Amino acid sequence: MEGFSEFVGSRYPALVRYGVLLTGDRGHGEDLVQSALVKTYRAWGRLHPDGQPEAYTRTVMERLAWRMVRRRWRGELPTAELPDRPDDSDDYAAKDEAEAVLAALRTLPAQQRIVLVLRYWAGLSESEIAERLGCSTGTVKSRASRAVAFLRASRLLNDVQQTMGARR
Amino acid sequence: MSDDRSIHDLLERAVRDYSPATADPERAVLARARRERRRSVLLTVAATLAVVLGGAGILNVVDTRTRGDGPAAGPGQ
Repeated sequence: MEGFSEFVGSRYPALVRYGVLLTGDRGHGEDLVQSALVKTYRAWGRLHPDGQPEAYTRTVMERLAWRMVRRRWRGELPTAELPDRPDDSDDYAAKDEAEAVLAALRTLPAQQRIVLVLRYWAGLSESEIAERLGCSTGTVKSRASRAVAFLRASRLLNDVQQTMGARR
Repeated sequence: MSDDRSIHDLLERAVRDYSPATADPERAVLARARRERRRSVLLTVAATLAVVLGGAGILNVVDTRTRGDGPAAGPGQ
């Protein structure tokens, strides 16, 4: 199909990174992207050349992730225990750090994780998130606030703030 | 520093160096689309069969009961 191959070839890595954040898991993130791309493929006639296939795909990913949460909500339980945080002194610190952040994201209840990613990664407003996910603004606010409180308690956020402060 | 900026940076660190595992994503997506299409066709066929066979079964029962309850045909009646 004209243009679909180029779209997937150029945007797949960025979409997978988004999927990994939404799910907190590399395998599930890639699976989510492929499921969304199947829907994009079917809608390609409407999306190419005048539509916005990436925005469409991202919205499908968000809704699929949100819907999966409703089905598997009891599968994810928050815990106070976090995995070891990385040591900056070794060469693998960046990978360790990425793994620590992903582990923390997995620890978050999925609805909180999704709202966190949409709010702080995608930069959407609370009302935009509520509209996309089909929930109330109050739900978005409470999920976001709990997620941020969790990140503060985990000290991962403090580490980032210290690192960024040191770079200045 | 604002929370917005530092949370964005934290999330960025989780995926910054990540590369997808699938070597040929387009092929994987098209294969998945075909599988889903096949499953959908099979489900439609199965649903149609169930309706047709169920309908035929109901008609058969109705037909049998109607014959049984109806006036008996034959000489002398």
